[in-house]
Amino acid sequence: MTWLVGALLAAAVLAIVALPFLRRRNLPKESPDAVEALEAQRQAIYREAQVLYNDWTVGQVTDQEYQERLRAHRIRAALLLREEEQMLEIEERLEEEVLALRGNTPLDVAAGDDHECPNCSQLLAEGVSECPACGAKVTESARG
Amino acid sequence: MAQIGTITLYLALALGVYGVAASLVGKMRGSTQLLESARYSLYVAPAMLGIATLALVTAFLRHDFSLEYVAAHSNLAMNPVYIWVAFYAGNEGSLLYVVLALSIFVALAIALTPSTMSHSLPHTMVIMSAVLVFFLGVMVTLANPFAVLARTPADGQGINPLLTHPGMFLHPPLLMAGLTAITVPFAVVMGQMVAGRVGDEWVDLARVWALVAWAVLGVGLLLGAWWAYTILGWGGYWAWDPIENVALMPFLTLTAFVHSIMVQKRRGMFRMWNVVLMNVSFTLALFGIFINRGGPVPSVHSFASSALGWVFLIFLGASLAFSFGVFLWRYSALRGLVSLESTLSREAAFLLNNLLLLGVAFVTLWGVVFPLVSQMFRGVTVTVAAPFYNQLNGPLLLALVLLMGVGPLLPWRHSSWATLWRALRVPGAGALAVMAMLLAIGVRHPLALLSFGLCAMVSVSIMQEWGKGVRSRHSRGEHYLVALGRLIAANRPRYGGYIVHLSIVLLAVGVTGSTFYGAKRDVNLAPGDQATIRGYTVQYLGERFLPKADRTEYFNDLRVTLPSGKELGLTTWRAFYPDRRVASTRAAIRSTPLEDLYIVSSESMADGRVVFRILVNPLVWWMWVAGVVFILGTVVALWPQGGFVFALASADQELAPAPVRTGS
Repeated sequence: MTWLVGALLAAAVLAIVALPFLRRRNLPKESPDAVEALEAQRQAIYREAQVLYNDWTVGQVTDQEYQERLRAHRIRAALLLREEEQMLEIEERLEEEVLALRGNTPLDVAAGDDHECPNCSQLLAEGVSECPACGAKVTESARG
Repeated sequence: MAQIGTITLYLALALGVYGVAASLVGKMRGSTQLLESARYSLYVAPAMLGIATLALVTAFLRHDFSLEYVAAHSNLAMNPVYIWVAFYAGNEGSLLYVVLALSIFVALAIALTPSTMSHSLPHTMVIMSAVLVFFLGVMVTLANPFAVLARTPADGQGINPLLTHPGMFLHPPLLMAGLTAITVPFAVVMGQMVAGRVGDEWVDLARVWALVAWAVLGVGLLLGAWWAYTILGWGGYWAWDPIENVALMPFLTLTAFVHSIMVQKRRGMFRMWNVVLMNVSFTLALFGIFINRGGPVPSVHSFASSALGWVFLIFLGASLAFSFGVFLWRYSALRGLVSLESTLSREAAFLLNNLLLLGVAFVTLWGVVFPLVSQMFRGVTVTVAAPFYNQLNGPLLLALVLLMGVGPLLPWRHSSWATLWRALRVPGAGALAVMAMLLAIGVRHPLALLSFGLCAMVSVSIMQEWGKGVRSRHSRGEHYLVALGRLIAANRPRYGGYIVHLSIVLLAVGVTGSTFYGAKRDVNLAPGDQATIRGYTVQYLGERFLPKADRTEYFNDLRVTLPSGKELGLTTWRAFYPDRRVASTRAAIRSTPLEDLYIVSSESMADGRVVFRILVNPLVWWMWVAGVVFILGTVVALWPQGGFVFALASADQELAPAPVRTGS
């Protein structure tokens, strides 16, 4: 009886440890979603800024230090936000390309309904003559 | 049950080994499946060890004396309430408790690691599971709690009588858990170093886990002091016993770490120093386990000693070589760009605080190892007693209390003497007022006056900081109570830290009062005799005794007349265990915030007289209050920061932008 219980325990342990190999399709990523990680860093900066603000209001930090550190926090947060946006954009484009390859294209890139700015790679709607992101002129060839 | 226990121990060991191997190979090959599988293995290990623990507890409940461990640490007469204590009363059981606690910490550390740290998690997992494998390996091969006797005895030897005390339900497990919990922040720091992440990403995670280990150790140490005070019968709470000392040392270095890590978080400084502090803390934790298990120094705590010291010494050496090897490997990358701008700054105060704490730790370490060194090189057995520690550590601890009052008032980066003077005026005046008041009521001892004065200064400086914050918030329309709550919530690490500082002040008050103003009398009383001490009159009424299966209990009834004239009855308790040839005592204590009347009976004479030790210990009550305040402060400091955050969209916005809720 004892050995049967032991064998069952060993089998259960083996099954749990082997689980990641048995469910290949839904396996979580090794590294977290890069956008999520960036967002977490940005949220941490916001929290630090909140603490800084509270310290400033009760006189724990001087006006000069508050301004310096707040500015540093803003710059770091802005850089992270820009990085997040770029990553999201890349992800969107990758998804569209995958969909296009599968023949299920919402934007139908292959058909030329959409194109990108030669200057900043912003996706452009059909018929625009100027990039809404960077203002560069869009020529006929770039459009399509 | 023994077989189930052994099977689960082997399964846990296999899971630990797999955790190490799969984390290593998974990281090298970039295999998400292997890494996930390694994680699962370390989640399952606590379950296996939980089953093993249940098996051992069940064996105690069923009086299964076929197990060597159960027979050695329990008997039929043992109150079942003490089964939990008996579980870790010896070497094998306490090792099982250690691996159970460690496996739970490891699983929690993995589950709670934020996604931003996942790049170094495999390295951290390798280190944590390697430590787990070491302890499991030692237990399975050298100290199996499920070892079976060739012949089953009719009854066991019984639990050590000194362990049958309420304090034992928490004091040893908290200390063991605290020492093992240091593995987590150590593995976080080392994991980051090995992964090449030498920046500041690990600061928050290491701080949280260091605080957890530090708080658990701190509460365990205080409970140990309470246990010693009520059961050991000498009227004190801290004897600088080697086992107490080896738990105190990592607590001191972790205290240094939780302070200096704030400098790294705030200013990007002390990176190397923090890595060294964590390495030293982990090494001291292993040293503590070595001293406890190896028993090379005599101690009142020799319950779990064994001949396994050499194994722990080898592991300690290996760990030391690994941690400082990694440190040297990353040495050049760890060098910070920011240097100390002024010796009159918050950073400098933190550095001095660290040096003082390490000074106390070093003195304590020297006191622990000196008898070993003396024995090894001179062949002379030397005992390092309390006066050595008191004379060297006393001034260092007083300097730390002073720094607790000054440090938080200093601004970061640089300050001036004029600023410091402005900040210290009110706390300094508070200290002088208290000292004058104490002089007026007859307190004359210079060190006691200085200590009470410093305690007053720290308390006033903390109150001043809180008052300033509350007034500032109140001026913006918040009710005082709301302002206080929001002030704490706004910066929990800081205000939690202040609460912990207050607990240290209470502790210092208790230690100072009892050290400098205690009174003691040893008397030999016949029934009807009485003795007086500090206005208390203690009359011995008579003795009752109660034979039990494994002991004889003696109750000595006393009538005490208080200085106020009021009378009350107290009873001291003592038991003699003939099989073990040991006695156990429980002091009769009348405790008030002002002083404790402490009476313990040590011996009954043939002519009916009884030997009593009577003490008056001023202010000890505040030490136990300090424990509650310490826990409260730690909980506040550990509580996650969140809620409202700023909008940082524009760098040109006004100085104080409006808070916005993010939902995070």
